[in-house]
Amino acid sequence: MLRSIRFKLTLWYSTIVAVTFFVVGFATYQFVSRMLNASLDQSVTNEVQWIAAHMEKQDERQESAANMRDEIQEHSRFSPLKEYVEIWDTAGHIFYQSRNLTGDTLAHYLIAPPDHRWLLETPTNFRDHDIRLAFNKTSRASIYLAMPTTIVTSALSELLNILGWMGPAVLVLAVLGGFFLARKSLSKVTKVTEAAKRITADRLHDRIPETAVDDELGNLILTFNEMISRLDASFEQMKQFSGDASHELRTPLTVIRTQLETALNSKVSPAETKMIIARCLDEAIRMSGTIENLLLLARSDAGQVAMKADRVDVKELMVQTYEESVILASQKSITVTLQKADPVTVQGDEYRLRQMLLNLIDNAIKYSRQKGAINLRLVREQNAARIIVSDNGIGIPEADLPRIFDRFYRVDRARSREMGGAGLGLSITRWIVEAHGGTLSVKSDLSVGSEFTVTLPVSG
Amino acid sequence: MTKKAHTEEKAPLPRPGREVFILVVEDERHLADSVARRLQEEGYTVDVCHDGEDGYQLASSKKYHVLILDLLLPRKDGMQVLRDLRRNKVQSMVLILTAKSTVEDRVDGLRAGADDYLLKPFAFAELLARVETLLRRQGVEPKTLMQVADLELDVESRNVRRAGRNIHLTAKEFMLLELLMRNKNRILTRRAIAEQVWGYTFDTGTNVVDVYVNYLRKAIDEGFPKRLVHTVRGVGFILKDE
Repeated sequence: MLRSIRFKLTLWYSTIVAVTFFVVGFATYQFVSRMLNASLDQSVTNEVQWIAAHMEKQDERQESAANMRDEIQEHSRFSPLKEYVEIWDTAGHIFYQSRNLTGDTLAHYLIAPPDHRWLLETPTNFRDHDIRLAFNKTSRASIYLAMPTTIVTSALSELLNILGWMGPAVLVLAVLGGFFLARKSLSKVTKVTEAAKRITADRLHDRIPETAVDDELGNLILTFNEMISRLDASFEQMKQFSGDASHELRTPLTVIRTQLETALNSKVSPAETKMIIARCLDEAIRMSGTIENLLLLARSDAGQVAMKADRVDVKELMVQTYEESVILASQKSITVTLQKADPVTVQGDEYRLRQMLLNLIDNAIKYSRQKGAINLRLVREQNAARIIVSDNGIGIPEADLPRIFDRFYRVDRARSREMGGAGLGLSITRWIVEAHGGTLSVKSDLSVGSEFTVTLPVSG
Repeated sequence: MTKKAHTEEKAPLPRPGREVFILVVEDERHLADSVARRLQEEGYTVDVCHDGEDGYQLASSKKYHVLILDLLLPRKDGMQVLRDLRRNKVQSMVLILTAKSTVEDRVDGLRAGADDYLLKPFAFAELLARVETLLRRQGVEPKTLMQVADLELDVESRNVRRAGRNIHLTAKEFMLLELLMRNKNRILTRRAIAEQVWGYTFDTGTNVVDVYVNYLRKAIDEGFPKRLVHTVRGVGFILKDE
């Protein structure tokens, strides 16, 4: 749970919201505090300046001191903020003191010595609240004027209060919002996970329902489905392969087993026993062949078959194989003709190339009728050697053509068994050709014949 | 293409009741012949053919009790033969005998109307037992009483008697004796016995077979002048009446 993406997303989201809120809150507090303090200072300064200006005017008009005190007091009454006023004359006597200062002397709270013209301070020891104290020394008097900072501090504490409960509320909203947002965007992922869980080796035909939306997740699902398709195909191939392999091995085994069971009958004559043993030997040899080929293909899949890279005289090879094939084909009275043999050498493994040629010729003999004809051609081209093995045999149906190089694939399995093939020859042939960097292709017409063409790159 | 397989050394066993006809359709000739031969030794009348088309024609034209059918056949696929026969209301019991081993293959075969499915390679004794089961299902009463000299074994009632005296055997001993009697005068290797009586082969040896053969000897041979169970040195065991 704690490691889930949903949790992490929520955590990130909430953290970002919380940090944003803190920064904005802090800035707001600072701004408001500065503004309020400035405005308080302004008020204090205005008041002092008014008194100073007024006292000068009074002097000009020669008004009486009592009259001036009354005017100052009157003015203070209309001040929106409570203010403390104290005015000293140049002789060092208190000229005026507002009534709310009874028993106190503002001048005592001034921290800096009063020899400046202008001072603005915040003494903290005045009664039970802080004040903003202004001092102005004019030619006529020293003016002390103070206003309580309560207006600022209470406003600020109110703001802090608001920010204080908004913080957790915003955080809770952020967590919830983040959680739901994450869940909403991840719900598709959960669906994909569930669908993927249902897909096992036995159920590879299932797919994750694809969404029409072309977003990251849609692409993921598409990619995933493609992967399953490939898995499905290779599993299917594997199943087919192991089924075919077991069939190919079971059949000779069955013959061996039933023949031997028959031989164990005490009434079987010695001559018959010999025949049975000969049959079993035949089947055992056939089985070894199949197993040998299977192992060769398995090792080639694993890349464990070392392929030599000698200079191979293909013409020489072709002539030799041709001579062997004449004998092979004589059993079915098939004529083999070497129509063309250009001198050409390739880089490769002579043993494997011979195996490849024999496989192709053996195949041609197998699928030719009695008295058929097989033609061999070796053609040198610009930078390729082309080997063509053609026959006028039974041919291959078009539908089967793409599959004839598959392992164990045979067009007519029942008939092939009589001819002794397990359906691995062409797979091995193709492997050998491809290991030499060449290509193997086939053309065929039903009951007209087949033509296999091997193209090998020529080594300069 | 068809031929009537026949044996010279051994005449069919006298079988009570009517004649039982079996058709073997199998393209592997050696296999077809040895199956036919063995069935004939058991007293069945057997026809053999080597491709699907012939098999279909024969099975449609003559009433066989049991058809032993391979699946991969030239000319006509075994599965197709089976479907066509069923469509034409041919009622013969069909036993598919094939090397196709996947579950899907079995299911397909049984769905197409097969009555049993036996996987190659197989033991003759198992094939015979299955054929008998199919015959019983058809109401043909195969011989349930097997006899070797004065030893009798009834597969149905599971009674064993020698010279008219009842012999009590454990389940495994009974299976062992049934196997030996079914293969009378044939040598059975230890491994073949282990596979068919115990259902698997022992990697650690076939000692257990010797032990059970000894139990069986005590039960059926002790106290009788003529021994029936013989050891074939280095090979296995045989139940002989001569």
